[in-house]
Amino acid sequence: MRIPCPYCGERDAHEFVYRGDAAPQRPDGAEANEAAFADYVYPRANVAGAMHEHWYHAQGCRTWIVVERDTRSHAIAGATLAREAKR
Amino acid sequence: MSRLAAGGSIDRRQPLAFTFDGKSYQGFAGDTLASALIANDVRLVGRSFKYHRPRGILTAGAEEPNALVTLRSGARAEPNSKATTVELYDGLEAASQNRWPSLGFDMMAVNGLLSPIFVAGFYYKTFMWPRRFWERLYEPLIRRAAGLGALSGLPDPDSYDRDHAFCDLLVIGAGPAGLMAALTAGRAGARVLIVEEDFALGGRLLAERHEIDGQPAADWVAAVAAELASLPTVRVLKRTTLFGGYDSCTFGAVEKVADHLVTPAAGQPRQRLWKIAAKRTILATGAVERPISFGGNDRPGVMQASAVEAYVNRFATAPGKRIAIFALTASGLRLARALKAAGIEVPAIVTPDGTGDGSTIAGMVTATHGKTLRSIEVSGRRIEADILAMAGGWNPAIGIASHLGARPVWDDAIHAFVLKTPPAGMALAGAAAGHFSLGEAIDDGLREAQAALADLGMPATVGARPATSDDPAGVGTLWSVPGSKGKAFVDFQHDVTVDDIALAEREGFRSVEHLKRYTTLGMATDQGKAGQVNGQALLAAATATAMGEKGTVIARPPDRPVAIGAFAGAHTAAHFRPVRLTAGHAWAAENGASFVDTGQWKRAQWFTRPGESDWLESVTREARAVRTGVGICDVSTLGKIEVAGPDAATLLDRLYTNMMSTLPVGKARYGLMLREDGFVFDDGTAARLADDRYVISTTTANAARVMQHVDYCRHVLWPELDAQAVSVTEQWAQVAVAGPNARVLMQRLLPDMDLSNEAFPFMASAQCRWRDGPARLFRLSFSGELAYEIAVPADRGAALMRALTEAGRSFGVTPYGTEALGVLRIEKGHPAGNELNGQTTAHDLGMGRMLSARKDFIGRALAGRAALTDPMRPTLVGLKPVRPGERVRGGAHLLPLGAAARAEHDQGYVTSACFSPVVDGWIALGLLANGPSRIGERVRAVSPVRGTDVEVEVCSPIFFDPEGVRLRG
Amino acid sequence: MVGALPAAGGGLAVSERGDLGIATIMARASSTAALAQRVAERFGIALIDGPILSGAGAVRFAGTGPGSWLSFCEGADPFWACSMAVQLDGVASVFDQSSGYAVLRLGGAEAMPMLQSGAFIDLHADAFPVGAVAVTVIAHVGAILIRVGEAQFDVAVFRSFAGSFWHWLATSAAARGVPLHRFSEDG
Ligand SMILES: [Zn+2]
Repeated sequence: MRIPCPYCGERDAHEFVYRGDAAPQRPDGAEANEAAFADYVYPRANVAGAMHEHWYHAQGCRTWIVVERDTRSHAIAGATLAREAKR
Repeated sequence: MSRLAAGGSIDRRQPLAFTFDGKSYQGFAGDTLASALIANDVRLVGRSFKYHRPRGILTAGAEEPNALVTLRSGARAEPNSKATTVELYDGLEAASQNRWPSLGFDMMAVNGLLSPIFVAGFYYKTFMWPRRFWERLYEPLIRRAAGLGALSGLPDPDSYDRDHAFCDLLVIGAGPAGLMAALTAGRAGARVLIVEEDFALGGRLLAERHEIDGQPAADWVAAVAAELASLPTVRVLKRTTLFGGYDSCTFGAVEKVADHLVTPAAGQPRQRLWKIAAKRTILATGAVERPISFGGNDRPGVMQASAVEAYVNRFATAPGKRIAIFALTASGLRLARALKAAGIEVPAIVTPDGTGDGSTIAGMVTATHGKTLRSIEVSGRRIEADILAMAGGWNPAIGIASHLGARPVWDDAIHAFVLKTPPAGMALAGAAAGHFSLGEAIDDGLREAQAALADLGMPATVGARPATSDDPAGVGTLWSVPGSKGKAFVDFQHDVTVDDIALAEREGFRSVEHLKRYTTLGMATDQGKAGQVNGQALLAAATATAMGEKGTVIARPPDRPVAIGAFAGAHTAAHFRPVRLTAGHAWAAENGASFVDTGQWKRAQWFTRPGESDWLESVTREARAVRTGVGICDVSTLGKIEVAGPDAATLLDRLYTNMMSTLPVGKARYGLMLREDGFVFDDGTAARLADDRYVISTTTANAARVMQHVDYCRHVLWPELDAQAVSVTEQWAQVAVAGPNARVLMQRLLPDMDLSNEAFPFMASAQCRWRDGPARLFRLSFSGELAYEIAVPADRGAALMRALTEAGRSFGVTPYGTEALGVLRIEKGHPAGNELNGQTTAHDLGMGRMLSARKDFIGRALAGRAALTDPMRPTLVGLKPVRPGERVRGGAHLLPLGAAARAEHDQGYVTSACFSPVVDGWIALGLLANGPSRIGERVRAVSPVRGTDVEVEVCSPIFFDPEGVRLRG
Repeated sequence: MVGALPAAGGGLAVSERGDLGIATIMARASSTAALAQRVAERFGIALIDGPILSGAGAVRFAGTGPGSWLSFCEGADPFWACSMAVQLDGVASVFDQSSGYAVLRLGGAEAMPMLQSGAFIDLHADAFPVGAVAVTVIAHVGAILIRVGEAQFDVAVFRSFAGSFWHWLATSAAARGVPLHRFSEDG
């Protein structure tokens, strides 16, 4: 699989570390409780289709990116820097 | 000899000597091993997998199920080589397989007589009971009786190379369609890579007689080859098998670099693995001819018609003197013409409906006779023939497209599975597309190359489409022959018969995938290239479903067997993975170090001195030296990450459980990192170099993971923080200097610094100078002694080791390795990798008070879960054997005294154990349920693996200097 | 610098580039433009935020990630990174890496095919022209490739991997039948 790193260009998947679903948002702040964190850490949707995922270009620019990938075909629609995706 | 007097693409000026089963023969350059065997009248080449039936050469290509030989001998022996694809070379040595004691007389052929029990599913039915007989009796028996060639068991003496290719257009297969496509795209200036498995270009044009542009097809091939070679953007890879298609249009291929040589030249690899990324791909892999399932269709002498055509036309051999033809396709008549032109008698052309020319016999072959073929039976009539060429139709070779997820569908017009919708970026051309005539192949190649160019926005130069002689390409079907006598084989390599398919269906295995597993149809090294479709057609008939309704099996990489060595490449033995060496490595080696692998790093484990007979003696001496004098230890492999920027302190507060923002400049602090699920992730120290700059350390094992984690926090969780971070592990060589004499030694090294306890106390840090270069000094102690860590740029790491040795010579400075480091930290109860094992919490390690309640940090919320702070969780304790001299082992389980050594009594385990010089006995750290409240209690440490059972007393994990007087000294 | 190739040519010349000051330069938040301006003022270099080499003189910046560069300085003193930190104060964080990398210069007609055999990125001159930078992996070793000339590449690997990288280079050269010429820095 080739992943289009927004900085480096197209690279082989072996340069990347996979993390998973980019959707869960960390419940920031010292007030967030155990239940909110359990919801953030554990349950994951088993998506069949387009999914936004976090990948780390460990053997490249060392940047976390958000990749849009179809889990059925592995077709990749695009990728953005995670730092920018959050904004 | 059956070599024709003239013709063929062999070079008669280059005779090549070879041996088969010890007998010497001769062939020519341009031969395959199979064609050379045919030229030498060798008819019997192997025994079948299950019944040990004699088998001859069936095909002229990679789909060959019978002619599997062991090539070469000794360490270079390669079993299961297909004689049909082995390029002949001078000195080639081949041996038949799966026969005992000899090919002509095989004791195991008795399996054929027992064939009623060797039916489909026989492994499942016959050998399941009694169970204990399986390993002792059945399995060895079956392994001997049923099998392929054997590996040599010796290390592979060859080397394997790796390469990468990028192209606009990848063309797979250099037959007419592929050549036309490559030429069209190459002329337009596209980067073209064309790969061909054969050692010659041309594909079926090598075997069939056609005209292109009014000249023999071979001349056209030669002209195209010459033009391709002249085009600067075109690369032609012959002897290269494309074996797999992977996501995003990447491909794997293996090039035979030296397989056609007796021994590779010095340094020359045997094979080269290619990874290919292509913008567009044209699959021009042709088609595989199907056998016909009639009685005795596996008798040596029964061959594919296309193979006979290849042996006659390409290799100028006569596989037989009287060659009968049984054809369902129009290509049967073309073969008859080729045979007659070569002066070979054709006693009969048999077609089911009599179509053909006037000489055709309407009927079917129902039986064959002879040890090797002597005669065939057609409608009860015997016809003498020593070869029967069967033309059973064509299966487009679409496996590579299937790898990319394309689903084949059945096409009733050509009676074959085809791809209606190829994968994105790929097009099919020629026979692979189900277009079997030469004209269609040329058209497809041209059209698909132009389409690819248009896709890529490259203008195509318009060239003339070469004129081709058209050839009829009609295909009929005949899935089984009524009235067949004897076994009719579907899968020749796995001995699956027409009757086996029927039996599987009767027993309920009615999906194609179940049929495959139950009968092993298509599971041999040929992966069903010849027989799979026939088997499915029989299943469809038996279940009264339309062909294709049940789909077909999914092809997965590799499409052809690939040597594991090709994947390993240069990464074998000592170079299995990259090795990381510290700056002090050579110095350590000179000083007697034994090294241990820690991830990719080599770390000095201990330093053997003359007269020391075992490692324990060295380690004990080193640990004692640190406690009584001073020792030096290379700790460069610990991860070092520098964090800078206005928000560096805030970032560290969120990464660590404890406060780092309150750390003054010039100080260091121990820190603990959790995972978000509340378990301990890593530990280390943070030293504040400036208001906006820290350097943090990680364990050696987690260095990359912590860096990744820090970046995750910076990029994903809190991109608003203005903090930059980078690994500086490689920049700094770092050495621990520990022991009562550490200050004296460091003062000699850094005479300009005030290292007094007042000026540079425990947990102080500083940026300083050593020999007019930058250095960093930390007062950290893992050993519990007065200790420092000094870091210098790695270029000076070796010099630092030498300088420390020089400066400390007068008071016996001692280098120590990771084992002594381990002893010293166990004596002090410091957790390390064994305790930070991903399953422990801060509470488990006695560090619950390090979880700050004044801020948020990674893992805060979930670390507070009741189950993670339950006192009954196994918690860190020290363990001492009750009987002096007894040895506790790491990994031993902790059980109450008197309880049986069973899982339900398990209360924890020993994480680390060592011989402690200060205790003068074996000590251990362990995780014990409710441990801290059980100090003084006795438990058992049982290691079923080592067979030890030691009574131990639970104690504090700090065995030495519990007040920490020495490290503050 | 690389010594002249032997008259026979066709080989691969490898030299180690010593005496290089190396530093990781990371722009402070929202300061990439300010950093570029500072670099232009102090070094006369148009800094580009991308996988490209900026600068042609003694100091160069190779883009290694968003807002991140590996800066090289020929003939630098041991405290060069500190002076860079002063120059770029307030707009970038500077991290000394002068000892962190081994930098090899590969030259000759075989340099590109050799590196291509190790790296799964397209090194064709159209895709990877002179001045292009790539952080990638060769033979399981992280490597920073910089095309400094048509047939000339700088390759930076972490210093602890230098031995493994050299082993790959030597065996791959042998597999290709490529003569390997090793030069010291001073020819
Ligand atoms: Zn990248």
